[in-house]
Amino acid sequence: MNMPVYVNNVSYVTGAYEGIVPPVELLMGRGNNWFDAEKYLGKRGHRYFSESVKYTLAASMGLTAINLEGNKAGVFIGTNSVDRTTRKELYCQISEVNDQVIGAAYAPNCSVNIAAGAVAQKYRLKGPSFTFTGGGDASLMALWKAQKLLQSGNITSALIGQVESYREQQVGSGSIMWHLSGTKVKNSEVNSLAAVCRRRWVPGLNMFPDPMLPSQGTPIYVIGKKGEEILERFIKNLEQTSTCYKHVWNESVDQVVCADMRLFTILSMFVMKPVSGSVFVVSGNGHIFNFKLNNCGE
Amino acid sequence: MAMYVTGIGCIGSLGEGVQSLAAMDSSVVPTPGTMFTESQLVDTQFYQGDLSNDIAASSYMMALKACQEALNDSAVESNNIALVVATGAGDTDTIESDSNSSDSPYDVTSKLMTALGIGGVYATVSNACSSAGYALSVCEDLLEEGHAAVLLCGVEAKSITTQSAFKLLLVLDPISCRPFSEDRKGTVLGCGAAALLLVGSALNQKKIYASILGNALSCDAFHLTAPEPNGTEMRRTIQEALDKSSLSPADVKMFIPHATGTALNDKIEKDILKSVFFDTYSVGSIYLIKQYIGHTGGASAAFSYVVASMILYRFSKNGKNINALINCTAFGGNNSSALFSAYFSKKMSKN
Repeated sequence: MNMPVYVNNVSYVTGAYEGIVPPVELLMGRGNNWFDAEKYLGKRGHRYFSESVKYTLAASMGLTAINLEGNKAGVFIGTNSVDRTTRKELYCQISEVNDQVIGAAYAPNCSVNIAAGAVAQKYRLKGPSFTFTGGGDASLMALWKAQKLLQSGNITSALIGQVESYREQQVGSGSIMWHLSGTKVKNSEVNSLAAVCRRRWVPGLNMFPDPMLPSQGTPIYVIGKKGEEILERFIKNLEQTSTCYKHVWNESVDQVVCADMRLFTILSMFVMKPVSGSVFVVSGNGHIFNFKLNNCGE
Repeated sequence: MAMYVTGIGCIGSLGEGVQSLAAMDSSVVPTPGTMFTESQLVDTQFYQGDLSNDIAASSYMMALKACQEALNDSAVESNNIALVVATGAGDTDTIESDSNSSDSPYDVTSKLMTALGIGGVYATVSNACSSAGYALSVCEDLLEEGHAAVLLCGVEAKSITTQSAFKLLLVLDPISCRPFSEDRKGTVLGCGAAALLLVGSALNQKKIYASILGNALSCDAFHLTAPEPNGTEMRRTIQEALDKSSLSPADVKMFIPHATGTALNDKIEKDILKSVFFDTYSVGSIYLIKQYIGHTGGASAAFSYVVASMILYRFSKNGKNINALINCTAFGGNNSSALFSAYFSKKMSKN
């Protein structure tokens, strides 16, 4: 059994809300004045960072009272769109479609790993700085990799999360970041929220042996969007083995964050609540991630 | 965990297939062509060789060719082969077409998985020019977790936005990529894909090109585009890779540095290699592959790994036990160092 790692803090910034993850209903209905570039980045910060990088920096800044600096701390980001808007703008500039001019100071935003790099630079994190791309489970791969390095002792703390920013989908943009550590934290400022134990990352249902299922009596939660074929097949497998489970999907999440953020948003809510049990995250990319969560207050 | 290279494949400006890399045995280096015949990038160079524009601009098509060659090269047959794609910009056509496509450039990996039908999990690591170095670490993890093999594919397509960004940053050489050269003025980008099939055990493999002894990662956390002047984290990464491989600097006699042709990166990297490997670092032990194929971004370390595998295989056939250091660095301050070694089965002898 893999050793657990500990989620100590969760921070969330969207076009609608900034702060610690609240119940989903509170995520709706806020104004769009979410990010004060001058306050966070100084007078010229907005000249250097794209919207997606600002989201990531803002979310990481919400992880308060975390001692991070050094070569034992790393950054692990999942994203599909950090670079998208800047690359499209640069393409239009080269194609002379518009008059917007991107200069040298802004050009690095074309690189999808710039959000992770900006966080690493701000907090002087000299451990590995990973960017996974490719859909809604990119942040789950970031979590998986961070856990591997925490468990092996290569790093002692990690910032992990997801960021998305689509100019054409303003409401759904944002970033969620977690602080992870290899040991439980309990002090006057921070208490670990949840212990997360990585169990399996498998491709669809090809590798679904019964030993994946936890012992009787352990609550089982399935996170996945209703209607996706892989989720339906996974649930059918559970039902055929008479396994009790709870499928969790909060429809209001669909109205707050873009598609790529939804799996990680709900997993974050599990951590914040917190929930104890075996959690299966079934992604539309055909992956199944299995974690064991334990409430650190128990 | 040690890994073994059991299949390789590539496509790039030198041609299709790993045999095209034999051109690197020559002291005559190819010259790049202009990026385009029109547009604002007409004054920039690019290594495309004889690849058509359709192929050069398609990460999917290049990666598919490289992956198929690597799979066919090995004898691994399994429905549990994972795929890790290393790419900085992904399939650039989704960004740079006129259709305002909503497709993601990073969907290239899922498309490859569907085409290859190899059954394992898949991931895309996008760490700019160190993507393949970082992806190697993910491959090691997947083998530890029980995959029969992992296909690592680095790919980078011809991209208007990438070329423009490099031009804006004033890091492009107007003539060619001349790493470590005194008159270098920057890098020149190239396109291509390089793939390696990795396994966790050398038993029952058709061919083993090389062993991978260790891999280390870090971040400068200094500047988003410039390397830290003292190379502190790069030096630490090299030492960590040596420690993981149980090697000392004197054990390393072959070097494939990142060596992009830029003023800053080349100076820092060269100084560090000379100081760490003062006994063994010499002109004859260095392979500067970007002078042949350009800087292939997220694929660059994968090309280095393929070249290292081919050279080390030759060494092992001649009974020479050689260890090779392969470096890569990237925007965002990412550093990676890997140590490859000539492979000898228990039946073979080595010097």
